[in-house]
Amino acid sequence: MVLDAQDLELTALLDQVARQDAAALKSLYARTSPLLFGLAMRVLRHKEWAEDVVQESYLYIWRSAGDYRASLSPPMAWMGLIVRSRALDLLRRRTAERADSTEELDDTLAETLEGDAPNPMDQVHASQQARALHRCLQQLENGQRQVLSLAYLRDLSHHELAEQLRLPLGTVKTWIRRGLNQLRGCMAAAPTEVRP
Amino acid sequence: MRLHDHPELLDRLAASYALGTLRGGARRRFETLARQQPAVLQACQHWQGRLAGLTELQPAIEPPSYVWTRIQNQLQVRAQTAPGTTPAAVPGWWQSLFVWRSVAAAGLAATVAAVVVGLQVNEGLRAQAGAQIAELRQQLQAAPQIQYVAVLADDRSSASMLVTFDPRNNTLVLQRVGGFQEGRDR
Repeated sequence: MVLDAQDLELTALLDQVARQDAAALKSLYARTSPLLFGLAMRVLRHKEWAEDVVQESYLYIWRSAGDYRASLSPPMAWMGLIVRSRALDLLRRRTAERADSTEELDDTLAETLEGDAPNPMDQVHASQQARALHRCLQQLENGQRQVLSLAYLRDLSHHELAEQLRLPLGTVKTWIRRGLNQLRGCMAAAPTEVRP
Repeated sequence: MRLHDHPELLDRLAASYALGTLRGGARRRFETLARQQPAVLQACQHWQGRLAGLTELQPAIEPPSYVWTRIQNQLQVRAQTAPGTTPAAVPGWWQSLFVWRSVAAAGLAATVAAVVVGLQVNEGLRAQAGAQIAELRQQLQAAPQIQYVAVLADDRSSASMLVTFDPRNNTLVLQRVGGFQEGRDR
């Protein structure tokens, strides 16, 4: 793992949060909440749910910042995984509660078109590791990048992706396979990567 | 199958596993291999780390300011309720174990005394109680046995008279209700 200056600053803040420094949590929130809220919105597509998940996540970070160093991941990725797993839990609960998902499908259609923009990803605050991934994802076609991102972020199967994105199942499978092959090739050649 | 002899296949499976698109039986078989072969586990963790970067690459959206306010409120609530975070106060006299033991002992002594006195008084009371019961029976016999109740309403439909019948004494009783006043000619 390679940590740049920004990662080191966030790591230092997490260390302070682990010592129950409330001011450090405030700084951490100020620096990271837009990214984490954006992530929660991407997974959930529902403002109130995303707010709840972000709130829960920072309370979890407050309690568990002491465990961060053992995770061996960049600080943003550690926090991102906390938000993703909480968002997925909430999504599963809501999906189980609601059989009717017409509203969500309408959201998805709009989002798919918007997602076709050439550079939908934000890498300003990303860790070095995430920037390497970003460079490789940029080499993929938009559709491939979209299905890979959504498969991961929302934990979707081929079938669920086809349904949510209103694409033929065969197309989804092909995009995932080709996208992942290309990503593997690119990541293996990425110069900044340090293999464990 | 020794997956690390097939690095290309291992890398492909590990990437699909971390992405989440390796599902069902294939996923379970791969997990079994990861428990048996360290190289498989390592490849999994490697891809999980790489793809975790996706969580950092989403478009940032500023959350509403009340989200931080709620977090702060929650932290305050926890700080007040969590044990060990507040400095331990000097215990007052009412928290002393000795005081409470003494109170309990005094209570026990009082109970014993009451029981002893009660037993002594009991004999005298028994004779008295027999007389009281007989008296109560008599009173009960004399008490009216009300069987029928009617409420008479005035011209404004508000209750004015309560009518009760006592069959034991063969009496019908009329009682005024509220401020009812019957007419002079009646």
